[in-house]
Amino acid sequence: MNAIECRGVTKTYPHYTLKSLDMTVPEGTVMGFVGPNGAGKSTTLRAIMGLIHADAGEISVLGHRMPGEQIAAKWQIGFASEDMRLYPGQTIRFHMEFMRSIFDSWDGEYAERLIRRFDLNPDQKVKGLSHGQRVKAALLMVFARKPRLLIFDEPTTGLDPVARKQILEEMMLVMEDESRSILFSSHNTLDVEQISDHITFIDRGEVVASHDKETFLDSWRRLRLIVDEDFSLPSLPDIVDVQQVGHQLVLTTRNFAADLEDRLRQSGATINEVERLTLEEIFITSVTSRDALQQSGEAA
Amino acid sequence: MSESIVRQLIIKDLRLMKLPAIAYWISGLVSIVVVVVGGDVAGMTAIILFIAALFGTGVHSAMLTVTEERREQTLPFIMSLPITIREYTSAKLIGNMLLVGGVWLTLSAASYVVFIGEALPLGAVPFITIVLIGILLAYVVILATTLIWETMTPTIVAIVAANLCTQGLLWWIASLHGIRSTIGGNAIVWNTTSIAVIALQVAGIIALLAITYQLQARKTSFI
Repeated sequence: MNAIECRGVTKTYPHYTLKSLDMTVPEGTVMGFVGPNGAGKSTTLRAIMGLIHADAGEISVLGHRMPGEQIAAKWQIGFASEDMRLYPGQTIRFHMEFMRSIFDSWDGEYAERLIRRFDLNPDQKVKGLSHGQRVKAALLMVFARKPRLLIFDEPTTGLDPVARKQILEEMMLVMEDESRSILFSSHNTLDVEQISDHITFIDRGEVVASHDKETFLDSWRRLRLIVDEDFSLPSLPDIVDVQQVGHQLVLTTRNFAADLEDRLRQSGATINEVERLTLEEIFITSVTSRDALQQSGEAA
Repeated sequence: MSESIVRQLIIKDLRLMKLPAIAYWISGLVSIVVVVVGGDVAGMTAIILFIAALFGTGVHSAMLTVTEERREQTLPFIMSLPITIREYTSAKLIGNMLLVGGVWLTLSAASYVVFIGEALPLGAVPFITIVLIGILLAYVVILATTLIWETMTPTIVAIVAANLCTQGLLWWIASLHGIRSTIGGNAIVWNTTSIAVIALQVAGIIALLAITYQLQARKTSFI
């Protein structure tokens, strides 16, 4: 079963369009949703939560159609976004009691453990908390509900490394229960790489790529070649970036296969090195190569 | 509709507004006492304070529970709960009307008990009723504006407009023959004029609440 299914989700604003987004989050997995500012991450997550209505397309969350069945779905979804705040004039305990009054699933002992783990004072007012403490308090409200699906929009933005580590560890603990799923957006590809099973890249309202993490990391390669001055690169599929300085040529492929090296050697190149790419490099190359492709298309 | 969550949202808003509401309520009671025991100047000042207490409760409640929720970005927290915009709107309308209505009702009742026969003649009862319902109507205009537009500027415009229009309308109503001719008498006279004005005010309140609910329910984006 899929925790989330999006089919052709479209949302148009005056200066931005989410274009026919398709995305699937299998149950029991962590999906990292990566994109630059303004890519459409928050719009997508809000549409999945039923907080905005898509102009077209279908969204199903935990078997419930959104936004029509959002109440049934939201009982089982914990949502936190970077721009979400708790009531500044109230204490953390006020919010814990509020959540407990709503959710039967609220685990008081777990909440108290999180209070200690996150080094929070439950009787402190929210307006006196640091940014990191505010984020941790908001996430506490989500974790202690024990929802089946957690949706986080930039949960670690602006956090120091220690706080980020605490949050990511807690997310990984959640996944010990195999029926639970997480969808989280982030700029920080290190965070995504650390805990995600699946990764979706989004840019300017369109999904650029969506695979499981291993496929991403295994299929992308950077090849450093030594070539003659008159070397002509043969026509090869899935080459997304080519940089040449003198006799050194660096090319990046998004679908590395063993025969690629043979074909390059046959065309006269010497392969100096074949490197794996980090998720951040894959993401940046995905976006920039798309830019280059669009520009060349416009020029043509 | 998730009645239990609507109830919890109402309780949450009542807790948020508890201290300001008590402060306004005490101010209103004090002003009623001053009207009776004070002199002319103190009495006039107290009547202004009384109206300000009623008006202030409404403005403060609408601002704190609706506008501030968006400004302080606590709305995403609330909307992440198992509710739709219908439940949210129901909770805001019921919660606000309970809180402001409660203060309005008790202060209105106290003002009748204390003013009538002491500071004002019995003939003033219809006009006082019109004034009190007029304040409630002004509050509903402000609440509807804050819920529908959710931002500060329309709310401020609504506060200023509701304040000015209420004063202007009350001056105009006081000048109507049906009101003017009975206001100083020793008997309460419910004539066609006073009943028509009250009926219009009550209809306005009900219509505004219904329109607000309907407009909110049609929203497709609310954070």
